[in-house]
Amino acid sequence: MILEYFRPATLSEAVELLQRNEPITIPLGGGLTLAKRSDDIAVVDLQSIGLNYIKIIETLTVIGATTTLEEMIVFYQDNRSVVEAIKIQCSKNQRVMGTIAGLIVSENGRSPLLTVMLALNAQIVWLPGEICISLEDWLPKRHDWKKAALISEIKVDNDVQVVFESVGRSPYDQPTICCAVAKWKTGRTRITFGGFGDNPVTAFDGDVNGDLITMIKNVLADSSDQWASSVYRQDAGTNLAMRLLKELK
Amino acid sequence: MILHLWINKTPTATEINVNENLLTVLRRLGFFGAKSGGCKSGECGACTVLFDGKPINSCSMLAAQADGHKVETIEGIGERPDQGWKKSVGLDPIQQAFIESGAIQCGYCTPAMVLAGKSLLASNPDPEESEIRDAISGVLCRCTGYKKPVSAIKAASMESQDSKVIEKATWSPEIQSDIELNRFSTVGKNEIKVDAIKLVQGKPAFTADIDLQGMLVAKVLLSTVAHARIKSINIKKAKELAGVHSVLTWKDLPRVVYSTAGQSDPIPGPLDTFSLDNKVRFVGDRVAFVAAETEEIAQQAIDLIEVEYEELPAVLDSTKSMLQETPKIHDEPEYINFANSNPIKNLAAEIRIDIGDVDSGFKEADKIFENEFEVPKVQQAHIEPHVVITYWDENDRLVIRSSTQVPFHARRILSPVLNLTIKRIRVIKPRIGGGFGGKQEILVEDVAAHLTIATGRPVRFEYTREEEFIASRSRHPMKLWMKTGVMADGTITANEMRVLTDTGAYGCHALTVTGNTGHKAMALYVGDGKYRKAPNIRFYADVVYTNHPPAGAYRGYGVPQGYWAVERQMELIANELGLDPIEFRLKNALRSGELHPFSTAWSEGREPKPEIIHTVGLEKCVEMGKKAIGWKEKALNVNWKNIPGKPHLRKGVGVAMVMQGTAIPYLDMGAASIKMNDDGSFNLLIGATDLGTGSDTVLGQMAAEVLGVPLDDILVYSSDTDFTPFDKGAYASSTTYISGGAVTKAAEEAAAMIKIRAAALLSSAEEILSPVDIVLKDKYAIAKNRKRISLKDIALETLHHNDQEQIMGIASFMSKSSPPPFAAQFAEVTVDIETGKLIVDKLVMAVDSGVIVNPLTASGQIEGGMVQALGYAVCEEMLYDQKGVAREKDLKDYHIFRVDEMPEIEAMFVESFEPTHPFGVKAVAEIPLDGVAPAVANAIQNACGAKLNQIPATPERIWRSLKSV
Repeated sequence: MILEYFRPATLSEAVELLQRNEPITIPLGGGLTLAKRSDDIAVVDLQSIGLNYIKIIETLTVIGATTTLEEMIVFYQDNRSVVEAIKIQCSKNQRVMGTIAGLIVSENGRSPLLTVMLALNAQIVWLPGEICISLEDWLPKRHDWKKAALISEIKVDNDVQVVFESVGRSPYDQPTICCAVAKWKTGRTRITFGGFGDNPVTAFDGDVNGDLITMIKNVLADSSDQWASSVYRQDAGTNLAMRLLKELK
Repeated sequence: MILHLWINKTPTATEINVNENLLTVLRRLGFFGAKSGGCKSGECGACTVLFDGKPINSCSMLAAQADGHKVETIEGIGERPDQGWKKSVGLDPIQQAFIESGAIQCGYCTPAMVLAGKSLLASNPDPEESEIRDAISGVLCRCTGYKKPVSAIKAASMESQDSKVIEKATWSPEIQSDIELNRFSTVGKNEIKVDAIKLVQGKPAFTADIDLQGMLVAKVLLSTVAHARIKSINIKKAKELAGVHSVLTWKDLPRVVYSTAGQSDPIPGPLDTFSLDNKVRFVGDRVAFVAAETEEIAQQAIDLIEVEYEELPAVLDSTKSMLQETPKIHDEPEYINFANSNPIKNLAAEIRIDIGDVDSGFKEADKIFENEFEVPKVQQAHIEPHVVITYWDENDRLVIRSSTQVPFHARRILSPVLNLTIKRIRVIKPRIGGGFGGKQEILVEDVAAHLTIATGRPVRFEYTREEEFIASRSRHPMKLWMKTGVMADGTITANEMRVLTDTGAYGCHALTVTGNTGHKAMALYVGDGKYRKAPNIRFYADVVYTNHPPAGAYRGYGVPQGYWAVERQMELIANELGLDPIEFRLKNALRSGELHPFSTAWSEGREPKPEIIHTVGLEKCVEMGKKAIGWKEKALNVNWKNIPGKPHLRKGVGVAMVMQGTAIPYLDMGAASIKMNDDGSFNLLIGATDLGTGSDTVLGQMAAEVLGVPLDDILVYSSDTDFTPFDKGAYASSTTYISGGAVTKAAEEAAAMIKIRAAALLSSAEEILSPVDIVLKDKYAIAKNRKRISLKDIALETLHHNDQEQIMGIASFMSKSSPPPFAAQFAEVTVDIETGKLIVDKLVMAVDSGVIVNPLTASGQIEGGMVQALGYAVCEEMLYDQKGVAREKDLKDYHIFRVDEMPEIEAMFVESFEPTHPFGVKAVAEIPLDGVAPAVANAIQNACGAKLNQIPATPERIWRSLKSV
């Protein structure tokens, strides 16, 4: 139950509120996941602190924490894969409300957009302290993350191409298996998979060589759940990854 | 806190609790156009409002977040043009287009779609279709199939009148007809729905759109275990919680056994249910009821109830239900059997039907085909949840305002449960936000009623979306086994189906749903030659109890399950014998003038009587459908099936043929009354329940046709057990046929009175006219000598001037026939042979539903039904873990199609005149559910060879099948 509601006007005020322990005080972006909380909490509404922006700063795209997924679609309108991942992730109304930081903290391994962000090797900036941590490093720690209270922005490299494909029961169903492949101009390639588990997983990061298929099968070996078997995911995932790599070539 | 915001451009300040969402606050302020879909996470979008001009889900936004913002609701969009002396701005162009295009069915999501469309057009006045689909993608619709809403927004966006005309031309379906319908003025026309104007404005037309003084909120404690006795319940803490007015357990209520199935008396199934019991039989079964001042308090009270269970082994595998060692789910002494039900064997119903000499038929066959099939449990997923409000009226009669498909059955069934005589119960059915069979169940009414009796206060009870999934009803899952004998030339010599049905914890609809699996699906293919007159058909079924949530009625009522097996079996046979799948089917299918093979064997637990099938438009349906899908160019064309540059993709087309029924013969009855008003308009009162199908409209059209007035002069009201005549309710595809028969007869009675008065008024000393010389047309009674008098003048004459009397008619209709509609359904698909990913590209359905009274509403039924069936085919499924806990609890995991992922859909009609009905109609509502799944699976097989025996056709199932090819 929500006991208190705050709408701070400044970032510092928000950060101060979010460091309270009694009651548990959480940031409020779009509010889409609020209904899942049954405990007594206070919420800090971030709508007035100016974190909804997307900027290109040198080699980086910097996305403010409260940037909505709809605003991201506009920004990435020429990137079919990112747009598709967002549309599978949620419908128009949810995109208008939902924020990128909200998605990062609340979604699980079935999230197509989180899978894409992981492939892009997104970096998360936390306050207080300007702690910058990669999504890759943060995801396994997120349930115990106490180092900072608020995501301020997400950074993504510009010199990277990303392609994505999802397999679900219908075109915009949650994926049973999805794959994102990102390739930097340097040749660095990241392959990530989603559609299961607590977090999307990285199957590969580096210059493409060696036995990719074995690496993919290994990372998907324990992916069985009530939605699909690991045997299926290994085979379908390998095919998706190979197809996407070919597309990038 | 005090919330300050602009609602529809009006500054508003109101006190709120910071915990409240925007939807709650808006509805408290009277903006009932924002609807609840039962969740707080924006799953369905029925709660859409515009927030600073953009569509958002008001259920998942805190009201406090809206402080200082602009909120627009449907109430701010447009008004009815005709407001008496007051000038009105009229309806918004989008609203007008929704009305004219037939985009409104139940209307529950309509305000949300209108708002989302308006937001789009404000920023993009000339959107592409894909942009429209994206803009309204936040709103789920379970009725329309989205085709008409998208087209409506497109039409509203068009500035050029020529473009509008072209767009509007797509609204009416193609109809191939040899019938001379020009003699009709209203029947056969695209009349707008009689409830469209109020629904498009979001008027408070639904059950929950009312606020009564002192109304309490009900909540139900649901079982967390699948099978257990309740050892103890401690409600002390819950009762002591401030704001709680009543906590009821099984100890507080009279122990009355009943069935929740909303069917005619006697219920054709076992009586095995109590409002509250000392035993729970599935995760989600009822344990206790609470009534409190607010929903939050009621939920807190629920959380404070302490229950001690004595857990029993759960029966979760239907194949083991009938084993001797399996625990008995119904061991209560009050259990009342129906027919062959037997609780000792966990058997809710048993069916054994043999037509002809099946064993001889198999011996005469050149080849026998045997296959096993399986269909899942799926949910109706109507967007408006189950909801009821109960209160005592000033006469101490209990009023039940409920979103029910069966108001009269509800009253009858609830009477003993509540220990109130029928005459002390009044059931009012407002508009229904979708039902699809889910509201043919007495599921929530008793909860609120018990609590009103306990507290004396009005009580509202509404399911959450999660409760819809875990505590409501569903389509019966079945395992089906088929054996078919076929001659080398493709003649079917015998056909056998055996079924194991999982009815879950209670036997509601157990016998009748599964009976229809055979009665409709196994009736279509009788065989050819001598087998036409003497078909050999066997249908055996066991319907067993398990500790899953109960199944029940769901649009199609057992028939989609049957056709999954039958139509896959036909495809496999044709494939193996190298026969053309269409010719093979038509060779063996029923034809006009033949006996319905099951009519001599089974009739929903009642005495069967032979029925001749008079009209079969199946061949014409096939021809229309083949053309629309491009069968000739695609089915055997390897070049078409392979996509250049996409070596992993394959395309295919598939077909299925189906038949349904129209009402239950010798049982279903509907009645109607009509009275004439001073201005020559008429009140039509019907017990029939329009659950969004448009039945009020088509029934009004029939009355208007008989009385010679425009539909606008028929004021249709349905339904209220105090004021409208009996009707068995909206199920079994019966309303247009049965209730329409009653309306026609009642209108004819009123018309006869009018003609008598008109003949007298138009007669002169020189010419005495007879009533048979009078026709009613264009609001006039017209004599054969062309003299005429307006109906208004006749009304004034009869009500006020001379020989005063009320011109009126009342009639009922019961049919000795259940004339089946027929259809051919086609699908085109693309399969990713590396991942099993399936894209359904196009669905086509050509239907013989008799005379189409309203092409717009009829095509809307087909389009919406096809999309529901598409979910059944590819993505909808309810699964449970080893403890009986549901996997699907929301509309995220239980995926129903969004507007922006839809295949192209096309509905068309072959018109026949059914001689057993005055307007020649047959049913249309359920048949679209029957053939999509097999058509899709047959298309998959055509594309890549994968042979599916189980739905939904998930990527992994297709992939596994491909691996085994």
